[in-house]
This record gives sequence, C-alpha cells and structure tokens, in this order.
Amino acid sequence: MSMSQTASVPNRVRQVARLIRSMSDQERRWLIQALPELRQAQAAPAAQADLMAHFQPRLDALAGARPMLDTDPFIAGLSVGEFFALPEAEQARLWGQAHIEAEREIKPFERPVRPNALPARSTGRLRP
Amino acid sequence: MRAAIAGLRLGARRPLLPAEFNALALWRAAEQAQPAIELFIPYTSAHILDTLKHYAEVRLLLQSTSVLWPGPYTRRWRRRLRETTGLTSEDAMILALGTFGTTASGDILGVPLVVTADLPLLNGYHDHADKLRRLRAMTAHLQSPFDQAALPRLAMPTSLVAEWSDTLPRSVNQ
Repeated sequence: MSMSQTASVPNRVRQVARLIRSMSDQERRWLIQALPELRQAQAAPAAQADLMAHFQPRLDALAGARPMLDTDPFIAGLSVGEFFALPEAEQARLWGQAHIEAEREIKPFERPVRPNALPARSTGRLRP
Repeated sequence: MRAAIAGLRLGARRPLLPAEFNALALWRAAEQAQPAIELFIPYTSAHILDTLKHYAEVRLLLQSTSVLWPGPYTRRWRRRLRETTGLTSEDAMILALGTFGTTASGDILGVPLVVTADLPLLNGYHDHADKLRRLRAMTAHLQSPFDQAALPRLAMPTSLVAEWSDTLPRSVNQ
C-alpha cells in the first residue's frame, strides 16, 4: 500500500484493523461467523501473482494431465463449473458427502504401524 | 483441498478468494520451509481425487501430498471422540486420523497438526478441549508405540503460514 493510499484510509478502519490483528484464532473465527462476507474479500494482485508463479510452471509441466475445463465432470454428478459456482456451504456439503461415500466404498482396514513408529513431529522426515 | 484446487484452476484468471489464497499460501509455505514440511491428506480425499487425477490441478495436489491411513485404534478412537464430545462422525474421524493415522508403510503414528478452515470442527474442538485432554490420558495405557499417540492441534491456514517459515511440524490438510 502506498503512502497516499495509507493516508486515505479512514481512522476508524485503521482502528478496526489493529483490533483484528490483536485477535486470537478463536476470536477471528467468531468474526468470520458474524461477518461471512469477509470470506469474499480478494487477495492483493501482487501477492497472488507471486503465489501463482510458484505453482503455474509445475502445472504447465505435468505430463499426462491437463487443466480442468468448466464442462469437465467433477464430483456429485456436477461439472467443474457447476460445482465451483455453488455457494460455499453447498460446496462443503457435497464435498463432505463425497467423503462419506468414499469411506463406504473403501471400507478401510486399519493399517499396521511399525513398532518403532514415532509421532510425525518427532521424525523430521523430509518429503521426497 | 477444495480451495487449493479452485485456486490453482482460477488463480491465473481472476482474483483469488481468501480461502483459495490461504490454501495455496499454506502449501507454498510448507514446501519452502527448511526442511520442507510434509503435507498429508486423508485416505478418503485421496480416493476421491484419484478419480480426478487426469486434471493437472488435482495431479499436482496428489503429487505434493502423502496419504494418511487409519492405523490401529483409529476406529475405536473415533467412536470414543464422538461419544465423549458430540463431534460429528466425520469430524471425529479427522481427529482420530490425526491421532492414530499412519502412512502406507506404517512409519508414523499421527500428525501434530490438522489444518482446516471448517468452523464447526474448529469450534467443536475448542468447545471440548477439556474433554479431549482427558481422553488423551487414556492413550498412555496403550502398548508402545501407541502410548505415544497424541491428539493433533487444530489450526487455520492463516495462522500457520508465518509460523512455518521457521518450524518443521508435519500436518494433515483436510
């Protein structure tokens, strides 16, 4: 944010920003519950460009895979475009339902754990 | 995961929503941490995504994560969590996987962190923190290595990006 932009920010907005910065995780969750439209705020363009620069070359280089199209099938019998156009709550419901169905389909057995297994935090193993 | 996929899909075309931005920022922070932080997805998510792996966005996510499978005690722990706290079956499963989950080769037992933006799960975990702590004492009576099992911490993506620049926990991303 430039200095001129900073100067134009009303005082009460800056006070709210300071208050939000001081909030705990729990308080921020309550804030989002009280103001769900906060989820719709947009990321800064430069930060987004920087972030996409991290992923886009890898996406482009993937062999045997192609970018999703709006008309491609996704989950719950919906296309990619239809699914991601749904309100967040409905997407979450369908995503959760897909997980319930997946669990039913897999019927997982409990995998054995090695006697020397450690909680993940203790292993320090690097991702391959 | 949903948000990360949506972010990868649309990040070059439109401004990202906060959930999308945060999911990708967390992913990048895990990859850039020294040493890199391993991200896990639940086996159910892997099952769903496997049918979509011909999409580049999904393929990249699968290539960048490991799968967390139920280990011994996971089902019992899930039932106990549900009965004790009233968490939904799905939320209890996430915590149970975080406590007793393992890799396909069985070399880990649980993860330290569950990353989620799911407010009901976060609130349920917070509301039942005392009961969850009491449950933790029960694992101490199990045979080794299960006596080392511990409930994971729950955190939102936003609170971890900065933290991960200088720490090395591993996590399961819901």
